[in-house]
Amino acid sequence: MTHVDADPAADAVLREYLHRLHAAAWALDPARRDELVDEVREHIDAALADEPSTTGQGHEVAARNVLERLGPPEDIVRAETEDGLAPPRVVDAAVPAANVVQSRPGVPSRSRPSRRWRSGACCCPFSAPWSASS
Amino acid sequence: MPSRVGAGTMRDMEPGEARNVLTQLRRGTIEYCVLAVLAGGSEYAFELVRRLSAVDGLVTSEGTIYPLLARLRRDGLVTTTWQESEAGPPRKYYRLTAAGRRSLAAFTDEWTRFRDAVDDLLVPARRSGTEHRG
Repeated sequence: MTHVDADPAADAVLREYLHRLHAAAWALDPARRDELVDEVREHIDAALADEPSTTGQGHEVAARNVLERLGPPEDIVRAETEDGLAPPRVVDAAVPAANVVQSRPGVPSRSRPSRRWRSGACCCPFSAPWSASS
Repeated sequence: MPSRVGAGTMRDMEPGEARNVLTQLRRGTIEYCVLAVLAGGSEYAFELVRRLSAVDGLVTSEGTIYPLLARLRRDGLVTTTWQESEAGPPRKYYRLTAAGRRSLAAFTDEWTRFRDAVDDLLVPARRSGTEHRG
């Protein structure tokens, strides 16, 4: 890893993205959700190392470029719950999230995000500086 | 060449319609493209994603590859192994299983037949269209 981890703005952007991914993935099997977040985090690390060396504001730009290429967290989770890389289906978008979960086989039915999530305890995986993961 | 709105009586395919067809094609073929990349040997997830991204129009959001990889693993077409990395933490590598290799071979045969048949129709049609206009 060659990237420098001293830029708080870039760190904040990356952490916020992983928060969004984690939140969007609440209906997945918990083990798979953690794994998905880890995979994306690992991708981000590798991609940042791949970006042209940058400092200061450029570091945040690099982070945003990497996230732009990854795509919205919601799209990633949607690909997880559909066959392949399908764009949003109208029928799914119109149904409340809880119903989608209950109608999908193979995924433990959890009609609501857990209390743990709501209390903010899940922030722990992302509360350390970005450098902690690389 | 894209037609301009109201430019004439030619019934060109609308750009959005062409995009939709490409989306369907991409959705149907992306998993075999993943298998094809892995046919050359095991690959680090990030490198795999970047190789697919380099193919024009194949991957619009890099992050959506991870759900696809998870599905291929669940289906027994790929397996993962952790390998030590000099640059940082261990990395997850993907490789084809025997079932993945069979699946790729079967699709490659089908795809080649399909592509050739479509080309047989499309290519002469385009040639004669050009002659008429010229």
